[in-house]
Amino acid sequence: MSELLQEDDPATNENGPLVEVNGLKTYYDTGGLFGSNPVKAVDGVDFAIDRGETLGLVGESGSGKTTLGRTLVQLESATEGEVLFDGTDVTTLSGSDLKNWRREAQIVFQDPESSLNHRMTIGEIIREPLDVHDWPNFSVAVDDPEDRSVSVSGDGIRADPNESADITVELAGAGPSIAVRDALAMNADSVDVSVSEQSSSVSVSVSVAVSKAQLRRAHVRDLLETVGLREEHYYRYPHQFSGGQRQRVGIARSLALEPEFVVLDEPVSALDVSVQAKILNLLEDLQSEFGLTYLFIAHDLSVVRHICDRVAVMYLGHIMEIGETEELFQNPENPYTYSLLSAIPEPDPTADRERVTLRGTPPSPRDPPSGCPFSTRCPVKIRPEAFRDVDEHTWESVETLREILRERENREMGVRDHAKALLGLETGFEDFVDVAEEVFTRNGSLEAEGVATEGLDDSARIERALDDIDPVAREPLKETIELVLADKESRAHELLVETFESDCGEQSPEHHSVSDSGRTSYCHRHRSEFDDTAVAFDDLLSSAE
Amino acid sequence: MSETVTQTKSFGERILEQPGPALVWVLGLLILGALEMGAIAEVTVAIVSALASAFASLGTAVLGGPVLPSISGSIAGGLESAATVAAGLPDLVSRSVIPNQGYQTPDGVWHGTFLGLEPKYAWLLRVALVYGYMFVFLWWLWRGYRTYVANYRTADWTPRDDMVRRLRSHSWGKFGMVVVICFVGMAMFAPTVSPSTGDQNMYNMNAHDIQYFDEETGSVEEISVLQANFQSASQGSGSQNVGLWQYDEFNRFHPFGTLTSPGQDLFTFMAYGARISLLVGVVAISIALVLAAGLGMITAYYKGLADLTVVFVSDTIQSLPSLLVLMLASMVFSHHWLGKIYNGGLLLAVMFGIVYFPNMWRSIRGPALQVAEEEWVDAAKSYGQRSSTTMRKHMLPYILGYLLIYGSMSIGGVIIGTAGLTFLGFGINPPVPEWGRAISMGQAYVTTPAWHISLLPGLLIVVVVTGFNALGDGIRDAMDPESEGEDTSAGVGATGGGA
Repeated sequence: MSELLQEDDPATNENGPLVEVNGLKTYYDTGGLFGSNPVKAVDGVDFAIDRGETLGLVGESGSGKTTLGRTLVQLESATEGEVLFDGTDVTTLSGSDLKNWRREAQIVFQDPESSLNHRMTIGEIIREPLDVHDWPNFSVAVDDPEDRSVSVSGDGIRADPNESADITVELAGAGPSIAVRDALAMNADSVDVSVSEQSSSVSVSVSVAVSKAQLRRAHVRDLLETVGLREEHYYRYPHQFSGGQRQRVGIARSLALEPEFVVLDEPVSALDVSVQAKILNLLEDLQSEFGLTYLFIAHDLSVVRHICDRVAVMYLGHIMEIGETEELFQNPENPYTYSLLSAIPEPDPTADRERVTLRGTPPSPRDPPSGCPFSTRCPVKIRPEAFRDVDEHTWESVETLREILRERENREMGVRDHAKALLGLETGFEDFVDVAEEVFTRNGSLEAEGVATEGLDDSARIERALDDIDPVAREPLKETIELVLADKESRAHELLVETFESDCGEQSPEHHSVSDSGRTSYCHRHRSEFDDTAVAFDDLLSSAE
Repeated sequence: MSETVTQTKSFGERILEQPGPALVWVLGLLILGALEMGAIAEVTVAIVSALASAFASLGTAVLGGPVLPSISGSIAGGLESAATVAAGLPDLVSRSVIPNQGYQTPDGVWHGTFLGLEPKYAWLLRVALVYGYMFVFLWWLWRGYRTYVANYRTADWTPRDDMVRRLRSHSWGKFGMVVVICFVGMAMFAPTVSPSTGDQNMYNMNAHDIQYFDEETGSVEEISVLQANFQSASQGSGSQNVGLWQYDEFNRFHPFGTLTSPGQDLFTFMAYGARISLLVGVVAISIALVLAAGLGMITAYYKGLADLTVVFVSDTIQSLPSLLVLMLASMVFSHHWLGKIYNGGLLLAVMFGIVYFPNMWRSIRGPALQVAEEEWVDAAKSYGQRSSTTMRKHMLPYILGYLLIYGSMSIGGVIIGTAGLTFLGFGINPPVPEWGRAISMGQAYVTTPAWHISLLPGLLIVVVVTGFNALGDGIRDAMDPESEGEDTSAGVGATGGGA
């Protein structure tokens, strides 16, 4: 292990979490020449993974979960924040320190088709990490009852006290007794040790009769068997295997260097359902056999529920809720988790459970909403005092209109649009009356409601459309539309925000602790002055009936 | 891809376990090698001495004086004695075994030729022997590969098996391969397949004499080759013309006729010219390929600034009119030591390599970027593989196919380009033979009986370039698993990796 890791006192780390992430941010496209607008794939996350634990990471596509996983194994470099691995910040490692650390943290990729080089045999693929790290390094631990200073020469190197040594030499008794670690396919006879003892120091010279290449081949064969493949698969090519078998090869490769921590990036989502279960069982077996710590990235919630001890729910680069799996599944506290879980199909067709459907698609991670990232889609967003009692249709219309104006503000104007705007030509904003009509009416248009639109001018059409809106909200909405039609779009957006905004869109929530088991949720609803999520959803669903 | 890993047994151990097939093959190889021992030794000595002289001239050029004269002198002495030893070794396929130069006395008897055969039959026999030997040798190498696959390879299937199978069923590609092998054979065995020798025919005509039977004096006379060539040159008129498959008045056989003044044998000229074309083509394409592959992988792996720099450089090179740059370079370097190596051949090859690489780099850029995005490249990074090794192990195999295809397809262009430049008077200087010069020499005679001077080199260029293109086609189809429609008997989803 690196010097850095050696400096740490092992005693303080043994009981702490294996991985601790603090304020981690990973942005893409940061290096623009003229000030850039980066993709905020991971936008400030904090969590910890205990030794031997499986942490699930779920979220929609584009929520940043894969980027987070890749940052943990340093395939992406963090923009900000730290990743403490056994107390060492690995984001600052480089050169040989980084290379040494890579032995400890490995990743299993999603697509077994793409993660194995087709031109190499299975044996070569699994062996490559061993070759890269010149495994085994024949680390020698000397067990000296007199505790003298030890120097090791010959084939071996001195073992790191934190690591399990390849060769252990015990100096008690008549001659030195030698023990070889199980992972190495050789017995103690192949190791020749000569010890010269002085009063204050011991020097041990080790020579190993077995070649490293032989040990590596034997290790690869062991790994093949460990993951449920056969020895003779050593000389086959990836094409000759099924998807499940290939994923086993990928798992074997990630285990070759005997890591402590493995990131599983959707390891079963590319596989048949029948094969998924086998791979999941294999992963569980391997975890108990080697004491591994997993970060399990998935979008299949039932898989997560099956395998994970704790779950973190990600949305737009933030962790919305993190806690014990069963507790979180039974009793979600965060509105996003709630919506996500309600999307799981119920196997019982007679069960009448209300589904929460989320509006629209997640916003672009280039322009995340201010305040809570989920505020643009949240079904139970906190409303300002004045509008707390407006009907659901009105509130949805307001939210939709806000989303439209927000998108329009962020949309990229091309050179032609700019030129058109300068020349006072049409820029595509003039049909806003149609948009307003569609947003405000219950059925999508006035015609659908049996209103004759012929002969109605714009303001009359808007007037008619606003009939479906709660009277409290009519005035500000009308003003907004007028501003848009007067080409003051940003002013219109401001007005809408001023009138209808609450804390959700204005300030970032805190990670509130929501249970005794240490579950936290990133939502304003946990503040004492507001209704809890469950209550809010009950209200929402009952009003919809 | 070397199978370095073995099933507890190394390659050597597997051979020891079942030595039969390997022994048979090695024995065959030794017999084939023994037949040509002299030639092999001569070629080795020639290469070493060429390297030594190139090194010496480089030293002279760089340091401005002879480098360590005593050492280079002793090296030269050693090489000379090695050359004599090599010349004394047996050599089945050689001029001295089957001589074709001699004279005919009025009784119809040939003197000096192999078994008294007519020179054209002696020559034909020698050419047939050369090509026969070459094809047997290549077949034996192929058999060696099959022996390895059948007896000693640990993997029972590799992606390469499918490629070989597809190439074997590709007739157009096989045609190309045969043409290319014949061309390479012509270049390699130029001294043997030529009716005359290069030294006698082109470089030192004055230093050689030949014997012939003079009908006027009724006796065997001697004449210098230069004199004889002058008298047998093809000048386009009926009396002054030695055409296809004809003897001249000095009893010399000319399969392709003679050139115009000073009347060298065209076939000899072409055979030695093949060496130049091949050398320039291979060196130029190798330079272009190495540059394109190296830069292609670096730009695909690092992207960003590295990519931008190479785009800029290649755009700059591509914006220049390449033919003019080549002409300029041959003019500028004509008195420089670089321009004198191989009478301008090396300079031309280097320039062609530089001019050709941007196009080739662009061609492989897409595949290189594609393979750089594969997860196995990320995987290699995740366990700390060095970037250079990642490029070599995980990216190069996937662009190698493209390189082979583009290489074999553009080598024809280089051959045509060299001929074109020489035709224009730039490029390769006399007396080194170049096909383009033959075409240029015969240009004035295309409508006369001496049409062969321009036509034959022209046709051969067409055939050789077509052959290289056909080979490239074959390789491309062999690499591409989608190219085969019906045969899925391999049953392993033979998506050979997209290369």
